[in-house]
Amino acid sequence: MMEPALRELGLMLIAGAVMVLLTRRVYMPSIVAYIFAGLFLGPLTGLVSEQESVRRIADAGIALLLFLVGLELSLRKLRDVGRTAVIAGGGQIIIAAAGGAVIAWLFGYAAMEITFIAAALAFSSTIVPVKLLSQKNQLSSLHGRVAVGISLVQNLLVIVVLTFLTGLGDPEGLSGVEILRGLGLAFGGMLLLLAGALLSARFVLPPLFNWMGPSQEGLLIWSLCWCFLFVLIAEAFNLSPEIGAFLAGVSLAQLRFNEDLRRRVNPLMNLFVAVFFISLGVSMELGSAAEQWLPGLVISVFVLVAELVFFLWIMIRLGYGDRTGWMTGAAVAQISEFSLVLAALGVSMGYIGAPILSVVAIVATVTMAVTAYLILYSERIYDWLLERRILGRWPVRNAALDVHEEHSSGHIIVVGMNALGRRIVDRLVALGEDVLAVDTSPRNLEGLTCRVMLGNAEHVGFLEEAGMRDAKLLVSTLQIEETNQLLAYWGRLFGVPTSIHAFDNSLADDLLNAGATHVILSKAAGTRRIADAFRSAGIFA
Amino acid sequence: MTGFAILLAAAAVAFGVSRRFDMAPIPFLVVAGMVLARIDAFPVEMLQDALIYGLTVVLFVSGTELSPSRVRGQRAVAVQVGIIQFGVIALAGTGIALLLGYARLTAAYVGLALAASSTLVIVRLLQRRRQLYEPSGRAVVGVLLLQDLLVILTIPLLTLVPAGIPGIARGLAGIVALVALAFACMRWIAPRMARLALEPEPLLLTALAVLVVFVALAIRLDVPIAAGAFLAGLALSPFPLRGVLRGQLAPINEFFAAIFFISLGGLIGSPGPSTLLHAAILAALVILVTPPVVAALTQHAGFTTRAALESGLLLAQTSELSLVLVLQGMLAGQIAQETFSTLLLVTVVTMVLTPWVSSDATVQRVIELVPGRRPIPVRSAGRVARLLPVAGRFPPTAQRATETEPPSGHVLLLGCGAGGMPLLETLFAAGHRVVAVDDDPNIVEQLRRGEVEVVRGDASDPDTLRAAGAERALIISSTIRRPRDNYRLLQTIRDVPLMVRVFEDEDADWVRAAGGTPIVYSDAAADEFMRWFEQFRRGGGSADQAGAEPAGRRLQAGRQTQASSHHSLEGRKDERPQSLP
Repeated sequence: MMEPALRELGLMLIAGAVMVLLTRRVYMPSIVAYIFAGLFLGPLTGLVSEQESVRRIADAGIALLLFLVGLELSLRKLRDVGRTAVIAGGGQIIIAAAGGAVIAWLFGYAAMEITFIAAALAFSSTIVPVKLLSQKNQLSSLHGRVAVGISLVQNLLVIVVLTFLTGLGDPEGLSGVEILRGLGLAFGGMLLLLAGALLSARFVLPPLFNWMGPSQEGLLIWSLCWCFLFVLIAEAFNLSPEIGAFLAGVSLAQLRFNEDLRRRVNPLMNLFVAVFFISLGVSMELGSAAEQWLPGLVISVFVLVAELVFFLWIMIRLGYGDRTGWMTGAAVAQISEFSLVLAALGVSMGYIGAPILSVVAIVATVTMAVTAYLILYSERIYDWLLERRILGRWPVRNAALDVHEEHSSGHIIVVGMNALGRRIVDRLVALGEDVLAVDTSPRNLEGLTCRVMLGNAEHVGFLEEAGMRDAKLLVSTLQIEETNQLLAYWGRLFGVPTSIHAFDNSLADDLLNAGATHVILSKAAGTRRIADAFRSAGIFA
Repeated sequence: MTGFAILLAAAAVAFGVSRRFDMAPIPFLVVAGMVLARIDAFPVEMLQDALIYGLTVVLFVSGTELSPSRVRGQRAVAVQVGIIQFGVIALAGTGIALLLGYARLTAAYVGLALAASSTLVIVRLLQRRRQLYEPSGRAVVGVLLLQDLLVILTIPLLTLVPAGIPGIARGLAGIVALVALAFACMRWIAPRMARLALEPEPLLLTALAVLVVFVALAIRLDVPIAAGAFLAGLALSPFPLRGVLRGQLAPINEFFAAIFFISLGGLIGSPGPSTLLHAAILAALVILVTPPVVAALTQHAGFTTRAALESGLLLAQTSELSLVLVLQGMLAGQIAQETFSTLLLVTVVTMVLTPWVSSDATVQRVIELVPGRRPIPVRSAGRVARLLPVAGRFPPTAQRATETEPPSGHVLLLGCGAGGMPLLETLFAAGHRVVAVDDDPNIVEQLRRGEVEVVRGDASDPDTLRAAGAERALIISSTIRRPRDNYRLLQTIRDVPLMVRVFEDEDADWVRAAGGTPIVYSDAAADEFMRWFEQFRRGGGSADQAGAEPAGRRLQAGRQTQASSHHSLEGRKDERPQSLP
């Protein structure tokens, strides 16, 4: 009864989960674990082979990821780093391709092989930096935006290359007219989508989505529908589905509940992206890996070192600090999933042999794995480099450019703006405390004198964004038993004191057991107030 | 690709419509599927996949939401009511189905399908009305959980019937094995998973891996996938794992559930006249028989007539699990498509009608029709007021409560609750006669044991108020939960000072306008919080220093209050009552 696709998906999920759990000790980033899981299932044991439906899920993952990127970044945020992205991204392509060609030549490869290797090195991955930066909540940071900008610029280049390649495959297609036509269609379509995104963002989407309301189930389905619409249009114009999804996200970015939306799409995206990486591992053609390990390794080292150094240099030249340069370089110093596609195409068209594919696969695996570690721990590594005075030697030329976001810490988070929440906020603010008020309804957050944040405190991602780990205190005034228990639990786990509303006295013990530091017994307080009222009425005279 | 796009678009429309009418989306999703099938636009090649994926995920998430802790305090009631209600409706349903001419096995399916009520619809309604944590709300949730469990356990039994006794035995063995595995997971694996503090994404993957393992085992053991998925969810349901997972699973659930329910609709297309007739009859059975049965049972268990009726009317629909049950039957070839269509229609109709059927207005109307309302408000004898010296003076002569005459000159506490004990003791110490009114049978029992004069009844019911002597009380305080009840109270009581406990400021406004004195307990709570916060801040604001002490004190204080009330309820003479400062 189990279809092969279901069985393979099931195996992938199990292998992925097991691998992640096993590699936690070595602090391995989850996506690396997924690649290894895929390597185990595919090349190593042959338990799983590439399936159409699995690939569709993986593709959906990339599309959703770019959708989320679009949701988080408005075009305005990207415009700021546009120039940087073009210069740095363009430079990276040249350096990587040139250097790769030289090394390939030194290893004695043929002309066609050198070309393909150079082309494969030119592009850096979209999904690795975007996924990890999103995980670290750094997509809108300076280096995050630059990395995304570079990614988008290179995506455009990919379209050009793909158009060329389809022309190469088709004998008539190689004519200049055909190629121009293909490009024209693609870019024309992109402009159309862009216009559509901007117009709908202004006129169509706000009334529709605001009517739907926050925290309604339909919100997810509606946004998925919208994303899908753009993807379909993109494919009709021979564009990649990612560009369509990205623009769909951009058009939804200025809605009031875009953060809520992001948090809803996130788990779905995470699941599909995990499948993507596992299937990437499965599809790695490591057949000739044993023989090709030396060139593969050398090229990988070259990519990593050259790109890291290059980005440090170019970002400093453009006026940023070396920290930004380091973080950006760490994010993009790998080759792309598209590089694998390119090499596979080359093999299928007979231009190169399988060994080259293995070389590209090795470089992909190594550079993706290493940069995954680099991205995840980039701050710590930077500090280490700073200590050893390897970095930190160059003055920032343009301080206005290199602006970093503030982290809030030592603040008090108050969840739930009902009568109790509002009173607590007012009184804390009067004492001079830094307060962040949280609620799921925009109306409840109106008219408050402190910082506000819209969203559902049940989600740990939201709590992280609210800076819970660095908060002084978390207060919940909610009258929802399960959310309160969860907040108590998170408080204990993060080492943050919590004061939780036990809206019925019987709930107090459970809350304390779940880890609450203090419980607010509102009914008991009310009873005492009633006693006071009785006293004023002369009952106890 | 286009098929998927069609499904998504149909789901979007269904959600839009459900938002417009502010109702649960399930019936509209089903109707959307029916419409698609009618206009021949349904992507049939996706049907099988959509159903299986959807079924698995929906049941998995249902399993994770199964939380006995939500039922706190009403477990006995829930089990009692749930089992009898399930049995009665199942039998009645089977009987009617047989009368309508269905085969025996089919009739059994129909009966069981009718007996389950919809967790999704009811919990959503209770949350909306903020009644989830009231005693009747908890009892209803308990009944729902029991029904879920019963349906899930009977699915494999029914599908295995053609395999004869050995087949059923084998199936049962398989289920028992899976249930054992699920409980083992709940006990040992789930807590460990929670403690691992995984990032959301690996956590989700691990949870789904557990699902895959259970489903694979289910297939191996010849148990229906539905049961495997549900038990996988159950395995992951202990706190805090469930709460942590919920954020991750919610969108996955929304997505797959939407696809699932649309596909269900797509299965049937347009129903014929006999299907419609049968659906009408069965729906009538559910709506007209379930409420009286449940109401009678809950009233017997000690709830007021109104709470009992509310519970009964809330449970008057069939469940998404009923659909799962019948779907499995159809996939196993044991029931015909027409039967499935009939039950689908019953579910859609009863779900759509539930908000209206269980509304306050309907409850009021039905209450008037019900003969012999219970409980007839009766006061229990109260204790003699304490003869202890208070500040050197002796209190006025103690009044012995008489059974027949309504009290007067007393302090009336409407909705006393367990938290009212300190207040009671203080009033006694001041020499007052106190009468309490509450509808929660547990509370009433506690008070009675403590020899407090208590009237068991609905505090907004005029008869109850009369028996409690509201018109002639010295002063009344109301801690009734529902604003509408307080409003009725304010209209009824005119000459006695009435303090009404409210949480929100808007409520304080209209209480004042209606002539009462609002006690805004959110304000009181905020004051107490600030008092604690001052200490917390002075203590350096760390969880170890200022935090631990108040927590400890709170815990002790909490226990103390409970202990003291417990002591005073036992009426120990050597213990001084804890009175309020």
